[in-house]
Amino acid sequence: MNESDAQVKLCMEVLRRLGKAGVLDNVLLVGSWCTYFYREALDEKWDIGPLRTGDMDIFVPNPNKQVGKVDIIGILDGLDFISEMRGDGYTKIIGPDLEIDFLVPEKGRGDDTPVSVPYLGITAQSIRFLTFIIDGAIKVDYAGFTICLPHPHRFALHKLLISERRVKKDKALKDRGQGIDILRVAFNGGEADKIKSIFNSLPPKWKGYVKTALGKSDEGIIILEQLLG
Amino acid sequence: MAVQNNPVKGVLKGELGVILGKISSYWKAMLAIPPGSLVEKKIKGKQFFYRAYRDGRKVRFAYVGKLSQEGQEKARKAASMRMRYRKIISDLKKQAIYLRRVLHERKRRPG
Repeated sequence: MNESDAQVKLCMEVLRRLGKAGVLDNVLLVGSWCTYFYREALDEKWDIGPLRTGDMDIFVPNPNKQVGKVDIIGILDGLDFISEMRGDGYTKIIGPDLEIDFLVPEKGRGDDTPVSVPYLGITAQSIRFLTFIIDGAIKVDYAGFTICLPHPHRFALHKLLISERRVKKDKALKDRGQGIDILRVAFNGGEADKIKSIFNSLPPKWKGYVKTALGKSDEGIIILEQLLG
Repeated sequence: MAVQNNPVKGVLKGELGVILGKISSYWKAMLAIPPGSLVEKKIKGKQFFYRAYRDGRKVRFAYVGKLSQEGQEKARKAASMRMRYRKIISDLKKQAIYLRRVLHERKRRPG
């Protein structure tokens, strides 16, 4: 483990508890923690650099799902998490070493209004492009729980997409770096055709975002040439 | 080098912002729990509960009333959570001080 052991243990404990309560049956783990599972739980070729994030992003594809109500803070009892309604109306689950955000897919033209997820008792932020990573999602059994993750190829392309919409430059740089790392590993692993097929299925505007993101670094330009070649 | 051109500084500055946000959140959570610990008093053979807390140099007792076993556990748990939040805030403040030093936002005290 390259990451801080305490943070990894906390993340695993959180996921184990969410899994036990059935929350993981209806959600996907998105965001940078996916890279941890790609490395630890999938084929060892996914060696994609160390993780550094205090955020855990959980994607709820169907916010209005009719399942039993869950008390998130109750599930996480004893781990020092508190629930806070932020000024913008989103619920954030805050812990000393980890923050949990819930995200839902943005529909239609999209707006900033928080979306209620009644069965989790929270309000979530709607994010564009997230529906893209639902397709081909993979299930991983790890440390006593089963978790759904985006497929690494889609995850990488999604990282490049959002890097172009980030306001904060350091976050954009981190997203771009992760996207490029994963694509490099995938190309080296002989999965070029699969990546190209996903890339070619993207709308022209999205392709443009990916190309622009890749064109910003030397390593990205090599990947772009492979992608277009 | 300006912060906006230095990704490492940008990350640290972002981290400082996250920590300050957490301090504020835990502070609010702590203030939502009344201070003090639950104490039991027997008056004329009957059991009553008070919340003992410090007010400057004085220890004051605020009447809570009769509590069921569950109510007592809840009150004790809340008091222990308040202590826990205090400790978390203290740890987060140390991290913020460290980051401010790294970012040169807070200068070392002379001597």
